[in-house]
Amino acid sequence: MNVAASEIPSGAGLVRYLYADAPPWARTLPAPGETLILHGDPGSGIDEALEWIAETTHPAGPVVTLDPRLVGDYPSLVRELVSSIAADAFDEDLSARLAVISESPSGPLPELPAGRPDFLQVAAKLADPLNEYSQGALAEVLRYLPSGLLVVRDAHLLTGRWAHEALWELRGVVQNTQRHALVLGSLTEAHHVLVAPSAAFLGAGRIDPVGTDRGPNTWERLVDMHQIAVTREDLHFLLSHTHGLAIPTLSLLLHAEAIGASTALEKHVQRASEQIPAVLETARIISRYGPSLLLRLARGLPPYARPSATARDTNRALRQLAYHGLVARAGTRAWRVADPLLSDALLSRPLPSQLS
Amino acid sequence: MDISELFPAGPILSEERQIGRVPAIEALAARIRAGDVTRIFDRRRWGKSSVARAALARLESDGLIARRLPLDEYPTSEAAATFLASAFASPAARMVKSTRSLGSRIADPLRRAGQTLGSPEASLMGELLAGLGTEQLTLQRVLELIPEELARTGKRAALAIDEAHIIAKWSEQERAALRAFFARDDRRTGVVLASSEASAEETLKQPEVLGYLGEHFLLAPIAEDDWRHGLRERFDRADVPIAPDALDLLLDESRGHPYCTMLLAKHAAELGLTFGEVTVSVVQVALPTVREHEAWKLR
Repeated sequence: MNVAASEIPSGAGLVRYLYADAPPWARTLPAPGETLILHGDPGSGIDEALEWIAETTHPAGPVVTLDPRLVGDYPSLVRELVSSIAADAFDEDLSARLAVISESPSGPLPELPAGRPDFLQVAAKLADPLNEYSQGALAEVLRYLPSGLLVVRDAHLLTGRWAHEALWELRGVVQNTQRHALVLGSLTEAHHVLVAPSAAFLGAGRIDPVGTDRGPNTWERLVDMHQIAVTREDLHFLLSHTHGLAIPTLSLLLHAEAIGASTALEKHVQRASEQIPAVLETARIISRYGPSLLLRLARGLPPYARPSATARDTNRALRQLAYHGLVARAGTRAWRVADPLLSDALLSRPLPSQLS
Repeated sequence: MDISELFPAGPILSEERQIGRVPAIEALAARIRAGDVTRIFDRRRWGKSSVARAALARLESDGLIARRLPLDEYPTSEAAATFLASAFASPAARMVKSTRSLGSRIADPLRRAGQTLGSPEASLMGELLAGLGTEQLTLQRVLELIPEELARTGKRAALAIDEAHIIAKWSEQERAALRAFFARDDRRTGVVLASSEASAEETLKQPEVLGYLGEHFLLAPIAEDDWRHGLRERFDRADVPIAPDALDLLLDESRGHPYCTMLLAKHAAELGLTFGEVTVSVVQVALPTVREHEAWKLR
């Protein structure tokens, strides 16, 4: 492809590219004591929205991002928050000193500044060999941050048993101390677990979707604004394949400008096809019906019309696949493969006869 | 005044922001003042924590030591012990609490840093840390010390424990210490146990947990007259007066649930700004939005 990967806006840059002014959900960024739950489909720009927030200057104080995606136990989650606070709330010198403690908790301690009780407390949390990070440690560490905005990516993961009651702890600190603001990011199909009847954030925060402005009008305006040399016909052709999702649409548009719409689509689908084995394997791990459902949805076949699985089984499998970002809703009762380019790529896979 | 301020839908509200809760707040404050142990176990977003907070605020202004212990934030007995030590103990004990949270291994560097930079506080904390064992601040010990401290100072106390069902996860010794603390006959400390966890009441009433300690406090629905009076006044203050039939519809749809009523009122007021008043049509336009809200099914 002729367009270098670095030329495709990514991260917070994607949000700045899409919205000349602040994005619509930026108006609702929470004040101290408040929570905002942002959710979006895979490819809608939800992660990029959180990165944009992480780069903003927030009146509450430093913006700290907690990413639980590579964490699978509570002590590691606490350590991750300590590291994030160090990186985002302290200056480089103090962060480096914390890194020394973090890398070798039983080694010699670096010189500690007396005038920074917040730093000392975080340092002690890392340095104390007796510290097992028992439940409540997450709240304790967050309280060490005098004030600020905490951004949690894929917050629905914190409803897992491994995270204990992490979300309740975060809610507790935010509501009780009124010093921190909280933004929870999640997939649209997974964010309900944050506000379910017995969940921590039921009625405790504002909920806003990200990337729902996907229609042709939006993209026509964007193409004109950035003077992307793509015809309306090509734009609509690409949108019919991407559902208007921010990341695949923009990537295709910028490549189409260089190599033409059809070629760009072909190359992107080709690249997506490289992911098929891993995706089908993941789908199988999530649900035994996963691979067959992906293949059916890619062909526009109804997921429920299969003699080998009850509607309940299928529903459960779809919800599980959606929770993990492999499928997304395409209307009230319809589903689609979450990544539209992977969906096209899956067409190259033969449909086993019993699934047709 | 900001519409969100006038129609607050959560989280925990002070007394002046609540509607129709004065009788409940007075009754709860009276029970706490008498040194009772009271249980408020009710559905979510019903106003338990707000009423408890308002009762504590009244008692604090009467000179009691009033504290709210949210167990979602302090879920272990160690965390609760540290919180209580800080809340009830003397300044010296608070210093011990601060040093404990700093950890023992950091004592020497802290003492050195304090000496180098001339910070007496850091030096003192370092000294304290060096001699402090972590076993000194247990829940059992703190619960023994609180009555002694209150007797010494001649003060009384009020404690509201939120998400109280978490107590069931603590060890038998810690629960026994709590039972003994709650069952004291000096009546110097009134306690409110609050929870919305479905099985909280059954769990806490078990003999080996809290063993039928305390009496249930029914947080009655807010009287319709109070809702009408309070809401009408707030719509007026927002410069969007509400028509009587619109108020009927609003209360009918929200069924008087505190959170849902405020939620619908807030949306109706926001929409009403365009028209200068809230009519039945405005409430009807607001309804689809609030019906989508995850808490609407609570009503």
